[in-house]
Amino acid sequence: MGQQTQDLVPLSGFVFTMSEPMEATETKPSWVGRGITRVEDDPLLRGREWFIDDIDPLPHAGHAAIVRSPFAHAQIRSIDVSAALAVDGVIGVVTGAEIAAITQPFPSVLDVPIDYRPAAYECVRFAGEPVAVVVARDRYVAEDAAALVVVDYDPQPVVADPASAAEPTAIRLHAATTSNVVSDRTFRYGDPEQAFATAVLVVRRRFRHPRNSATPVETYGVIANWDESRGGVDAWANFQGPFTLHGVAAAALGIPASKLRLCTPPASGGSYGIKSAVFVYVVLMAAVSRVLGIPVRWTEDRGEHLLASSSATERLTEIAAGFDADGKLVALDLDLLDDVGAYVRAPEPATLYRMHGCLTGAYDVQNLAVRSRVVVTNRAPTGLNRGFGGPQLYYPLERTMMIAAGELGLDHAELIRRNLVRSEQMPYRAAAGAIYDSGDYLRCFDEALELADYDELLAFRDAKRAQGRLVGIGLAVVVEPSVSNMGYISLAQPAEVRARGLPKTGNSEGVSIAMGPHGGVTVRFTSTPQGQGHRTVAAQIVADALGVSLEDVDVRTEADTSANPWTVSSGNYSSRFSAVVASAIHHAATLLADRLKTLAAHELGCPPEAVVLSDGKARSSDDGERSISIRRLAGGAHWNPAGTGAVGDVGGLALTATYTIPLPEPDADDRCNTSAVYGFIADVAIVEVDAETGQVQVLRYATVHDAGRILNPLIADGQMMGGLAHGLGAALLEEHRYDEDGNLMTASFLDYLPPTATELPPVRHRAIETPSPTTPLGAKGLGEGNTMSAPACLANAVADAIGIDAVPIPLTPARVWALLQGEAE
Amino acid sequence: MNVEFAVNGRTYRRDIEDRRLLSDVLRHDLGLRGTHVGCEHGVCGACTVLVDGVASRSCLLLAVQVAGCEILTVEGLADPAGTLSPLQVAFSTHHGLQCGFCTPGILATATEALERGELTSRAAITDLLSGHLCRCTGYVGIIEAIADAAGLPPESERAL
Amino acid sequence: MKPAPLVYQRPSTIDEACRLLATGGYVKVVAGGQSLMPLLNFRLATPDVLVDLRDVAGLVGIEVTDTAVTVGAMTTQRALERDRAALEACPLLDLALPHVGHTTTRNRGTVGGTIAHADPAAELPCVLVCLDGEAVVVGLDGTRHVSAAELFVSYLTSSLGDDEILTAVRFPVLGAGWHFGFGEVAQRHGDYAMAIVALAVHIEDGDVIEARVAAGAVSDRPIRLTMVEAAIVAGVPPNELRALAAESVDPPDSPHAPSAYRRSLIGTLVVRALAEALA
Repeated sequence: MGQQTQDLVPLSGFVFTMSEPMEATETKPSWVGRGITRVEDDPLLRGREWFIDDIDPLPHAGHAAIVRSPFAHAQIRSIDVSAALAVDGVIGVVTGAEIAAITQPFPSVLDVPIDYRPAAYECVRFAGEPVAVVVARDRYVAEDAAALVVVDYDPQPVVADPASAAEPTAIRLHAATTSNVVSDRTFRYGDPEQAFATAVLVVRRRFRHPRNSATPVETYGVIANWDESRGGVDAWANFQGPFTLHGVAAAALGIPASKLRLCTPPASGGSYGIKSAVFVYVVLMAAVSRVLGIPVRWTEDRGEHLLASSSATERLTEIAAGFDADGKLVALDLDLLDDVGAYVRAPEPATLYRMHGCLTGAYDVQNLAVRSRVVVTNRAPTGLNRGFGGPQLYYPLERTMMIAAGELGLDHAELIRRNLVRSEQMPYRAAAGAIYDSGDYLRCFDEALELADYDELLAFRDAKRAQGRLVGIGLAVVVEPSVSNMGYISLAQPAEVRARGLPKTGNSEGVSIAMGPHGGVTVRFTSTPQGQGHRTVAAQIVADALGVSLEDVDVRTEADTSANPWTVSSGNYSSRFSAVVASAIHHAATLLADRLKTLAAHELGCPPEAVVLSDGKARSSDDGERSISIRRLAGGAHWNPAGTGAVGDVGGLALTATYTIPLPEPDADDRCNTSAVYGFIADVAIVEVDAETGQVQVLRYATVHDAGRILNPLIADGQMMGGLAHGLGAALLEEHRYDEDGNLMTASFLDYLPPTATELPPVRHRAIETPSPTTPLGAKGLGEGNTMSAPACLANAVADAIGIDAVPIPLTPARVWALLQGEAE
Repeated sequence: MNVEFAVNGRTYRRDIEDRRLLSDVLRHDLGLRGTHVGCEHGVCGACTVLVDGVASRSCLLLAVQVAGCEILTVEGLADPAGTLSPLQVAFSTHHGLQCGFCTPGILATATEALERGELTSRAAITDLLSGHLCRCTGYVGIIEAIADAAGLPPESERAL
Repeated sequence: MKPAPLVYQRPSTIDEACRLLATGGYVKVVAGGQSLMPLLNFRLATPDVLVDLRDVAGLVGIEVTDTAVTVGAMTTQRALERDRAALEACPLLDLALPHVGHTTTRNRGTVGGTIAHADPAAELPCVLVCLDGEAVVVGLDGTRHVSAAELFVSYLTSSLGDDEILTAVRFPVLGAGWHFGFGEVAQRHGDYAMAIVALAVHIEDGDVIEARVAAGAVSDRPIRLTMVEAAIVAGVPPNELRALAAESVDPPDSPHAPSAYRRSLIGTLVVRALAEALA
């Protein structure tokens, strides 16, 4: 680690405003809170980091290519692999039927008879579903042979959208089910009927949140080997967790979870949720390895990724919001229908429930009715995608608030102000059970208006409108939950069914930390980062706790379920790093510090509580003159434990500790604190719409976050900007479009359009730090934020610009143009 | 086909199947894993390398097409002593990379443009970057890093 | 996503190249490869033989005369973009080239390649049609000059014979009194256009005495909008011109751009390109 890693980053003056690095408040400068550059950068900048396609843990692995269905729904009459087998260099071809014979259906939280396997064997239910796997000496040959596998399909009627799939008369995807609607739950909190009855205004609208995907630039990759003698599997994949899925994969393989060794390479090329679903291919390649008796490796190509990896759910929402004469939101009714694709792939239907506790968003309303339905369609299975449930919620909710403001004759900002949860209500129990731990939403919102120069925006808009131009302002406020409560998914089951099962409240992370004989510290945990700088922040936390320098701390984050500490909730999702993983790191480092203090007390002749660790030394606070180097303490503990007291309870200098934020299970009334902590974001945007071409230009975007204490402002700013780019893409460009036959129309990067540098607007950004009382460092998650808020904010801005309420996202030029022609969708 | 070409100053002679992509040869035959493959249809830009000094998508070149060429990949951007180029350092300083998967291609494109002196404004930088996808950063840190390496002064936000 | 097996050939003369093309079978010429190689990687094109023109002498270079900018087929789009003399002689190229893909694709993408590829949504074919340019084509029977109107046949299909190779592209220099406009609408900067308009008007004494308008991405090839040209010369007001231009095309639907939208875009782009030219 070079000198540069310790430098504070200069503030930038260009299009975005970085948050100020936090001042160290203690007398000794703290690493935590400083925007130091990352330890991750150097090998990445040199091209020396190891990604999944770079590693070769099992030499002589065969290279797989997957034969995929061109039909969204068809019976498989027969598969002829003879021509493929005849290709020089082909090792074997394994069909879905062979795989089905040695696997079990993937388990699901929903108790419905759906036989989901890693490859189809009698019936294909989405275009791109695997039907066979060719393994050859290299990928080129494997693709040659895959093109020669002849599959005789009998095409079946297709249900390619959630509304028609949910019709009682729709063709059923799974014969053993009674309906494509495979889960249907209703929830009622407070007295929504009474509240709606007294409301002076009820706004009712329908919204559609499309399928979209974060499309990481690195695709999926798997290396797997079936170990016949052990009856187990060794696998490497760019998996991101949640490690609940490890158990799902083991169950599908029919092996005890302890026999599935799942590892990740040191680096992963982005995920944003999407790579959680690589576990399906871990099972597929492990099964193929079992049949062929050799290790198998597979790197997904971009076509496969877009066609069949994963995406956000499409959600149809019917919302009703009731207001009293003062503009107070008194009741909310949400009817949610999530299209999860052809199978309910774990962790779905989690998109429906991740936000359940905070379905009322940032607003103080205790009367809530919810219907949550899951429907299967002939489309690729869905799953985690940045924001996970947040964009699906806030686009309808925030649009509805803006529409209500118009109908109430109130300024949108004023309506928001009247309804925000107040700081004096914190901790605030939301209607469906979330406990908002801290925050001053009103101040944050007002700061956003100030940061955006709201008055200037209003004047600009009005001046342009006077010239006939289409300029609009959008606002959005969102509560950003982080650290999922594993119990939330059990809301998919009624309370009486839940009561029969194991209660779930998990969110823990485990950390191993060890100090070597020369004082160097190694740290390991299972947060499976994909670019979020976990190693840097962990080093900051550990260096602070132990009083050592950053260079003395070496952090490893590659997962290995046979070696790492991990829990069922490990992984990189629900923005859990800065709230719970950082807490676990802090906890483990503090325990190690306590041991060092005990050893130092023995040497310094003072009580352990009087020992201070800093600058590589242990000092007595009673007598600052006396000190001993931490390196010497470590040497003593390793070489002379009996003589230095490093025995018994003090033990050595290696330990593993697990940290858990105490959370309740869902209660009998279906109230659930679905996440551990809750941040807040307020966004303001101004756009101009080209009336002739429908093109939307974002002229300014301002966002204010309160994610508690910021551990590294440089990294935090990067997360926020990245989240905003995803939100902008979702608002204006990105959608997995299917035709009525279930064919994906956006199956290459020529048609699926993430934003590039030229599409990003000027951004003003500010962070407010209200420390969380829940976490020891005061931090909350922040990685998803603007992905949740930006689609709502920009949809509001476009609606304001064009004077039309029903604005479907993404707001592509053709769509906006059609709206301007009076064509409603 | 037998071909000879140089990568990062080292000459390679190889018998390469005609259809094999340069990106695969760099990564899997020569072990230069820093060149990343993100789409294999010339859109994402992650595989961009310099071919005779010209930023080129290595997924859109057969390796046999670069016979006689000098290739520079991300592994060759630091000086021989291992010191990172000012552009590489600026990427770290300005947090211009997160997962780092798209970074090698962007470094290649920016390296050529810097050498040609074409980056005289941030608008030129964003235009240059439009041929690269980054899903982590929102491009802000990348633009600032390249602007820093190009010696551009801070720019005030454009008026509405 | 790897190319199917193929035989790679790199002839050093045009004659040798034409002979390779004439051998029969599925033979494709590769120039910069920025459009062809994705098709190979997707296996949407699976030629048996790929003929690379890289070593063929005389295919790179830009010649600017009073009457034409002649660009060797293997000249990269980037090289043309950097040739100030060519851009000043033919300002429409200056307006269009920044819309052609991205810097890194223009680095390798060639002028001849994009013309021979005959993509109706590409910019340079539209420019060539607008200017009434021509392609120089060499085959086993000799050299011929093919006008833009005759060159583009249909989607990704040109009128080149099986043994013919496009060796140069001539963009006419229209000279004094001509003014130009260019516009396109794409989803993102550098994407394939949903509609393109290239426009040239000859102004004398403040009057438009001749107009040339070409539209791209709205048909199976770039097309001239002759009724629009006449209307411009007749001084039809912008709103009528917009409607006329929109009615003069019948574009297909695409996932991102329905037909009606593209039609409307052509109307808008014609009006805007004309305003740009007259400014």
